[in-house]
Amino acid sequence: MNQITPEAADRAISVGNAANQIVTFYLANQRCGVPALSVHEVLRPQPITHVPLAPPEIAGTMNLRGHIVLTINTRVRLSLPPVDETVKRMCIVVDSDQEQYCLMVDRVGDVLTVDPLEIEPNPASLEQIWMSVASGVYSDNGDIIVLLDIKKLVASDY
Amino acid sequence: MDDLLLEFVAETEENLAVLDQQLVAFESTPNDDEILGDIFRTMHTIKGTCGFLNLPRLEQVAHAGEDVLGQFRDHIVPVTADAVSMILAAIDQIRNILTELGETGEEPAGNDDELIRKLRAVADGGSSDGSVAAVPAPEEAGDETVAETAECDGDDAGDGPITEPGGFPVAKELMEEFEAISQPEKAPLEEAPVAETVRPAHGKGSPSRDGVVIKVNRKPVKLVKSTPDDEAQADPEPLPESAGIEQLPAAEEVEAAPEEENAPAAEVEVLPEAASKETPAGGNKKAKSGAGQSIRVNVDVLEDLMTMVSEMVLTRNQLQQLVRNLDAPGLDEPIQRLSRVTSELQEGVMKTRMQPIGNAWSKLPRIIRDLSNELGKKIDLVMVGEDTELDRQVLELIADPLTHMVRNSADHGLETPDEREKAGKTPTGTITLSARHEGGHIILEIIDDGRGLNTRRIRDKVLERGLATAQELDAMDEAQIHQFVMKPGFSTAQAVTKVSGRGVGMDVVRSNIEQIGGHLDFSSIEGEGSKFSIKIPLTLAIVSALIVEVQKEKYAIPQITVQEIVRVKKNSQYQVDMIHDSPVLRFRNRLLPLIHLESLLGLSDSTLQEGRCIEDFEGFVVVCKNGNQNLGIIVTGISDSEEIVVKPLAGHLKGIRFFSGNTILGDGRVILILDPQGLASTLNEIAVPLTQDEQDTTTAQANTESILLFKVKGEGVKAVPLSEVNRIEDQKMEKLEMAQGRMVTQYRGQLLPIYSLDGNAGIRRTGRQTVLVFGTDAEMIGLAIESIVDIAQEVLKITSVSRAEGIKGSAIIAGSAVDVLDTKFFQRDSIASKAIACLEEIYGRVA
Repeated sequence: MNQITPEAADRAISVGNAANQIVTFYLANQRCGVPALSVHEVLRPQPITHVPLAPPEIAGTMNLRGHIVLTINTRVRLSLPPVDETVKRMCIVVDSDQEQYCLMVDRVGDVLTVDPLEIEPNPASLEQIWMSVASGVYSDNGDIIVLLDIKKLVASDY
Repeated sequence: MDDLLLEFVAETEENLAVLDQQLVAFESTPNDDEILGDIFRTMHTIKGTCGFLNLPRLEQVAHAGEDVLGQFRDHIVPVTADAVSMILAAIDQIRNILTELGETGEEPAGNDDELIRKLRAVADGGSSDGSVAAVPAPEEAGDETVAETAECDGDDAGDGPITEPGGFPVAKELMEEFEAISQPEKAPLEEAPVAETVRPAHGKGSPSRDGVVIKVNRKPVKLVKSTPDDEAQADPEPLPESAGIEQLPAAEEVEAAPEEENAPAAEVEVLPEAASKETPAGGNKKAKSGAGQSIRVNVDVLEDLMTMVSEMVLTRNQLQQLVRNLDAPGLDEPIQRLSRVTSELQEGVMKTRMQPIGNAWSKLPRIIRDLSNELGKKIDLVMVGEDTELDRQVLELIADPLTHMVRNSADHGLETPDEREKAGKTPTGTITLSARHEGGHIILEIIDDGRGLNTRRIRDKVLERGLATAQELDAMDEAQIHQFVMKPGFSTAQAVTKVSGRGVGMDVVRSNIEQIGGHLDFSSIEGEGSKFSIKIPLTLAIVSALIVEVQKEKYAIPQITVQEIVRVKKNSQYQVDMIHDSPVLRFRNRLLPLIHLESLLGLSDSTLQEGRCIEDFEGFVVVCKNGNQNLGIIVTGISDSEEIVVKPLAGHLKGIRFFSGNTILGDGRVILILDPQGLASTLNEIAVPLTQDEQDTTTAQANTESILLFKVKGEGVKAVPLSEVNRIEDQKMEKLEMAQGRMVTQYRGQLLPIYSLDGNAGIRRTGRQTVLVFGTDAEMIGLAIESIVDIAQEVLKITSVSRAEGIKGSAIIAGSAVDVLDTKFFQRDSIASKAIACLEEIYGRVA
């Protein structure tokens, strides 16, 4: 029954590949994902220094073991309603162009292995702001995950 | 030193190390063409680079070595142990020269003819056709066994080695000479023992005349323990039997001066006895270890290390804190050890960034030499404290200004020999360059014993350029007048020389120095010389900063810009006042423009448009120096002073001009570093001239000044220089009283006469009114006005003189004619009425 076709074998190989893993997280109940290879680490809420006059999506800066890392309030970046300030949010430290950024997210989910062949292009109905940062969508057993392009997400001119 | 040269020295040292290994391998397998090819290429590279960098001595040695290798490669000369030793000797010599080159930046004076001749002998000796006719042999009076003495003088060092041009192309003689060396028995008696004469030099390789270093070529096999005087008497020692070609004196030249620099001159131990007896390589030991003592490391790696160490220090601090509260005696000791090791580690990493200042000075002797030729002056350059270390980054930034200043001293400062003799000085002028540590800073001094600054000529030039008026100049002392040389475009040189006199100079030097947080100061006595002193921080990576608090947020202000901190409080001597919407502080008889960080950074809702709340402000004003103007930053609290490691801002934040970077504090918190320059840019360039006691910068300000424009009921807009305004008050007018025919009000415990430009009609009797307060203390007067219009930044030039009371005349400000107030009139009037009151009191009122 479980006859392995060459196609499936190929897929199995690529599935085991770290390059196909994503770190999932939640933003206003929307499940999102970023490539696991570009994720440096996941941190508990950290003290953040507010930077006056900075663009609104910049939550501030934080000290990551001697490195100063810019923290991006992902909710603000994606025009989502702000959450209560007292709610501590998780930090995902990502690499982009050899710089580190910290993405503030509501909750961090699993690490999933995705089949690149099953990644679908952005649906045309996706909101413009999501469209600009999403690289595709993936269905995890019917649960839609928006795959985000980190480079676009952290770009200063969007 | 030239970066290119440094690179070359480091690279060649590496190449030589490779060469050593290859040659040893080659000796065991003489027929391995591949290794030979590698060796040949390496030698060729060295030769080529030497030619490119104009290092003739090295080039010649490398060339001769290459010739021999070429013969090996072409199988013309058999590979013998002697021949290989010869090549090794050449490599050693290259290394010796290189060591010297690395230390002084110049090829040592000396002569390699011996070695070269022998190398050629090897190359030609085995040649099948014996065509050695083309090989020139140096025409030397002495023979090869005489140790040669070379004097290293700054003026000569640049000329490179002395080569004997003539020669006689007789192969036979060459061979004889070659054999002569190969037979050790012949040599000993002629072998003059060599003593080192080492006089205390000012520094390594200092080419100054009073620091002459005499270098001697000598054999490594000889141990010489002697005083400088018994050079001639020291007994010659026989050469060991193993003496071969490799023991050629020239090949083993060891520059001893640097290492013995600090040793007493009376008894100098040249080489350790054991090392000298054994092997011809004994002399190389030092050179070898010298090459191995430094490695090239990418600056990024060091930066990373630095970051990690800082992080470690932080973690240690946290750990210490924890242990202190834990009451765990067993932990104390390891924590203490960790603490010490961490501190040492931090210190060590810091050290890797440090370089001796001598590196920035290395090209100066050459510049001075060229200048003295060009200008026909005799100049001695004395350098003191070359070992003083400072951060590499600072070093690079300071090199150019320094060169400029030394050049200035040589050109402007020192006189020609004739002039000097007339002035009763020695014909040779001296420029002294010194460096030393002083409280976390490096003090650099450039002192010349030249003519000093000509105060009269500077004065004339100032007048000519309209930088100040004659009266202003009369009020200045010499030092203040001297400060004008720091003004852009100022040069008193009568003629533009190739060297200097174009007027681009001291101001650029000054701003360069100030850019790295340094400070330039100078003093000069006419006829006796000038002294420039530069104070620069040891490092730019770590700066000391004042940590201030604004609305519970912390910010760092670079300490170097902070002049003073003033506590402000309502109804105290220092109180924040408002001019229109701009906060100012009456401070040392000047108005200091203030920056309200809280509102500028949008930290609070209390905007300045509301205005008044800030007048009740209690907190601190940090007075910062920004170029020639000061500004005050209003903060709520002063938290600390801390050494911080400046880190650049992330790309997203580069657009915010108020911050120059960020840093991590000891408690792990990230804070932003304020940039006073960026903050000042919001001030609309309200230049507030510095007061006389801040004369360390400049005396004369730009001619523009801040002019306060205000409205008077029924009179239109009037103007008054802001500097004449003491305060601007929002005065309650109910308390007005009449005294001596004047309206007066109680103001700060005294009576303030209130004037108005339209008689007393303009003075309100109810409510509040804006009052400009002029003068100080007893001479204070108030002028009731309708409202403040603006502050203009203009050249105040009164075009028509007015006869109206209290009006100086009219001037064009912001494009329209405005009456300018004569504040003196009111003050005179006030004094006059007081005088009248006095007289009345004495004599009784005249009926």
